[in-house]
Amino acid sequence: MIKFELIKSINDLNQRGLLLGSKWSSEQLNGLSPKILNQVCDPEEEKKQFDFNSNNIESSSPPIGSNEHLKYLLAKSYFDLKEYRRCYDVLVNCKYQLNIFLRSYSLFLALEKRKEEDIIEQQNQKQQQQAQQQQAQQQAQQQAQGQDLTNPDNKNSTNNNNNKFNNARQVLIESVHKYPCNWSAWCDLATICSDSADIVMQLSLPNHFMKDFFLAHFKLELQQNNESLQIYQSLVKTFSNSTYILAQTAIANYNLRAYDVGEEIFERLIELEPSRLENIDIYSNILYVRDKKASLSMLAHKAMKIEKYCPETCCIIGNYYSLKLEHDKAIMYFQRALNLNDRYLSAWTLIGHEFLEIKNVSAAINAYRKAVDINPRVLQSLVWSRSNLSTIKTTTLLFILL
Amino acid sequence: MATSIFEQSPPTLIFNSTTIEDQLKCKIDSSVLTHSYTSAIFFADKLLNLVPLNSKKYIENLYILCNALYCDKQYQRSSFLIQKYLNQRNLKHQGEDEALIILKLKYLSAKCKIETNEFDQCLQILDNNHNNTDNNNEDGSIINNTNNNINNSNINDNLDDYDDYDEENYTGKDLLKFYVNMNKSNTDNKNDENINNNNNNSKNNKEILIIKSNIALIKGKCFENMDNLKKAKFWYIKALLLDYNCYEAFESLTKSHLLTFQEEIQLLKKLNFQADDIWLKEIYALSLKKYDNPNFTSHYNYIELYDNSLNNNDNNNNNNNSTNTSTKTNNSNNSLLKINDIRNKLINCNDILTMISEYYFYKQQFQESYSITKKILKEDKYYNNSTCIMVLISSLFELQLTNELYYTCHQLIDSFSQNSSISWYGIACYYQLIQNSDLTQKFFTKATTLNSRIGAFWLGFGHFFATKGEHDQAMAAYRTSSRLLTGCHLPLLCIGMELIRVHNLNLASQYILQAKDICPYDPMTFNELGIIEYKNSQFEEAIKLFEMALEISKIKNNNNNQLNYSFNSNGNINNNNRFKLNNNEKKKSMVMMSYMESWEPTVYNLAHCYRKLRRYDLALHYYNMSLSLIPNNPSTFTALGFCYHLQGSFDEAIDYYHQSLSIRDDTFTNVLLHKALSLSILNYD
Repeated sequence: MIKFELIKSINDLNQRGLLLGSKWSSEQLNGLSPKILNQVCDPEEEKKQFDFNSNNIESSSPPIGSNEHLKYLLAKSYFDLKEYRRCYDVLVNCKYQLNIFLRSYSLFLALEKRKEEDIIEQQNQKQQQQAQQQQAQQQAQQQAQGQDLTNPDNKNSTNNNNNKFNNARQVLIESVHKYPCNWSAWCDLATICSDSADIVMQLSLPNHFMKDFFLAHFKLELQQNNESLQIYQSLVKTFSNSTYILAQTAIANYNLRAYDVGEEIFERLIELEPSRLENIDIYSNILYVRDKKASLSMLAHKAMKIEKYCPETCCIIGNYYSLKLEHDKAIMYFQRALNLNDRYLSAWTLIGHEFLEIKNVSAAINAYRKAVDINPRVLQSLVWSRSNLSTIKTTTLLFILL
Repeated sequence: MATSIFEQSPPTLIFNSTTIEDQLKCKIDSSVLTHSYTSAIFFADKLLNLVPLNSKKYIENLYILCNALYCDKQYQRSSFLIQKYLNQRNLKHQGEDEALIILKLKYLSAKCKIETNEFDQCLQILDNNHNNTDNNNEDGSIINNTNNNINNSNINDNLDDYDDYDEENYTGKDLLKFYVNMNKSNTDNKNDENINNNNNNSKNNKEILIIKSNIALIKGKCFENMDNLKKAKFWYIKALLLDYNCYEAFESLTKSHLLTFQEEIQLLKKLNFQADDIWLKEIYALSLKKYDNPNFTSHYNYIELYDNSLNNNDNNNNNNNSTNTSTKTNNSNNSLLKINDIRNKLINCNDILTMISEYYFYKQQFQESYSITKKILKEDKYYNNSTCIMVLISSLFELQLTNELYYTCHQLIDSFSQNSSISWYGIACYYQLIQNSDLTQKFFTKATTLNSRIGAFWLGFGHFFATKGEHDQAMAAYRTSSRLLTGCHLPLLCIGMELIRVHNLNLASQYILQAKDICPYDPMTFNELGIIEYKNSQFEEAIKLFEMALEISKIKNNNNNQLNYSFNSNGNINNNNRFKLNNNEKKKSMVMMSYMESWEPTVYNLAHCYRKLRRYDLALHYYNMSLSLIPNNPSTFTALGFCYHLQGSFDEAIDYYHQSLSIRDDTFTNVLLHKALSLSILNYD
């Protein structure tokens, strides 16, 4: 049952260009324990499952060979090459939900991209952006007839930017009820709910294995690590080979400061996936804390070979130089990580630590402030890590941030 | 009213002495078993004082005490006590059992001396053993069995005399023949005794044999540490001939390459393995040199097994193993099954995996040898086998995996804090790989200072000096390694290569011919000889030698391929065998596929020879072959251009010169290019 859901979700999410979601689904599919993979479903149940979904899907995706379908193919290829506006233009006057979704999503992405590029230039185009986004939202609301499973997801993304969190939350929950296997939606829900933990409990979430994943992910963000670990332990029974769960448990252990356990789990993770860079920067943090120069050096060299221009690699190399006490180079690499991804949280905190090491307190304050902007909960971990500092300046610094 | 403890005991305190002795012996045994040596020593001391001096029991108890002292690492004390006793005692009146235990005492004392590195004293003790028995014989006090034992040791004495004189006349074969005769006489005597005597004595004989073998082993160790490798070899071989179970002697011989391959095979033949120990013989065969004769197939059993396990081809496995074993053993079906079983289980044993990885290393399949040794060290982090670690370091070096080598060396230093000379050697290899010559030199010196008896370190040191161009130091290092690795042809070969570099061709050819004698199956030897002929302008000879080098490398490679063919049915390798039946040209082009890029220099040299003989078509063929083995090599491009130049096709020559110059700017190529350009302009007039 899980197997089929996941397979379908991979397909659907791919069609709609939600790549992260489909990557997550395929990872979990491969991580299913062999017993479940080999389970033979009753053919009747299979049919039921397919029938239920196909009713919804058929109305939303154009029949193969029709004009709409051809347009969809063209638009998708533009989307894959990241030519979002072009994709938007192709899909004019479409009727099928799939195309409508793709159109709105590509517009959204185009605007986001523009916004980020302009932030660097720091011109006063923010107002223009907002106006354009409102326009997009209106368009989306007009066109959407709400049957498409993932369309609500799109609405919420635009809602995000306008800080209408409640609205977005409702929409996301609706989306998640209708189509649980959309990890992108769950992720966004987690980021929206980040300020208030209690609200999550009040939400009515569907009873599905995805809910467990979401809760565990959410609790991990809130630093409720033990509970998160418990949920992951129960999930591991079905998804025994899932590297995602392994990585998350490692992160939980890191948060709990059980560094040796975390290190072990990360080593196992690297054995299973030698070219993985996602979350490996946390492994480099662990090695930094445990002062393991040789392992960190080897990790840094390996990361360079795998992918040089990727924020995780830059963080790893920054950690390496920091351990070697070459703080200038470390700062350079953390800067590079930030250039590659402006909102990469750990890069901000780590660069803050580095500035502190070279006693550039104002820059450190700036960096920490930026980090807190992105995710207010980072403050807790900061307090933990700097609790052993005795200088008055640093304590005052923390109070400033609060 | 306080009563003292002793008032409560009965008035007559009678202790039966034998029961006390038995009790004490029990206590000592249990203490030794649980490794609480202090208690063992305490009890043994009391036991010793309970029996009168000069009685039979005293010797036994002394042995027990000194054994406990040895276990507790109180070596000086143990050997002191033994020596004191032996000097006091009049050894002329030896009883039959006492001979054995006195031998044991001497052996224990010798072992203690080895631990404290007092090798000359150790040898003295062991020689005294023989001198005394000699005296005994002269006295004519003959008791049946012991006399036979003493007769054996007499023959040993004679051998001792032999090892002192006329060493130069010996080759390995002579030595071994001599030992065979001695062994025969031993077995004859043993047979006589077995006919005459009861079980007790035959057990004694076995024990005596084992102790004698161990004594020979200790002597070998002493001589090895005193740098007298010839005698060391002598005694190790003797130890093995007395008792083939003495693995330590075998290991010392093979690890330090003291024997040449021929000698090793002979030794293995001379050892009379009993039917139950054929599995041991196979393992011994597996430990011999692996880079020598490619036709030596008896160690292939385990390797076939490993290949099969890689390919999960179990059916073939059983069939082939049974056919191989049937040729070896003509026993009943029961023993065949046993060997298969044992092999299947032992294939996962770390020692055997080490040997298999060594085999792959010499076949130049470095990825395989690296993966095997990595797996071994992961499972057994402190696995102390120097072969395994050397293969690991060397494979990483050949594969140029600097990152892994760095990390592995760190791990080695952490795990082996005591015998760490190999770890320092690994670090030196790492710095050599990233070409940091100061640090390389520093760490090579460190490794060789820590343990100057490992020939491989000196060899590596020599290679390092050779790459830096320091001829004298390289020669010194190579010479040291040739002194240590007596049975290995590599140091001699390297000395020859260095001499070629300084154009001392006569001396070089002498060394290389010596190397060829030791190991006739190394393509590198022929390559070097070919170079010498080339420098002497004897191009025909040079061609023959280069082709022989390529033939041998092809045979070695094809042996591998053939194995794969019969046990894998791997498609692409079959092609080689099929095409061999066609004509020469096709053969050559197919053969091109099977050369490994490590032999590219030989192909290149061959092409030069043909060019010198003006056989340009063959020269071009071989240059192209060498280009396909190592692409983008500027020297090959220049050579190709030169060939076309000499043939008069200037356009192609210019083409190739430009290609070479784009990779590496070289005055020689520039000059040639100018010449070619001017000649081609002349042509266009």
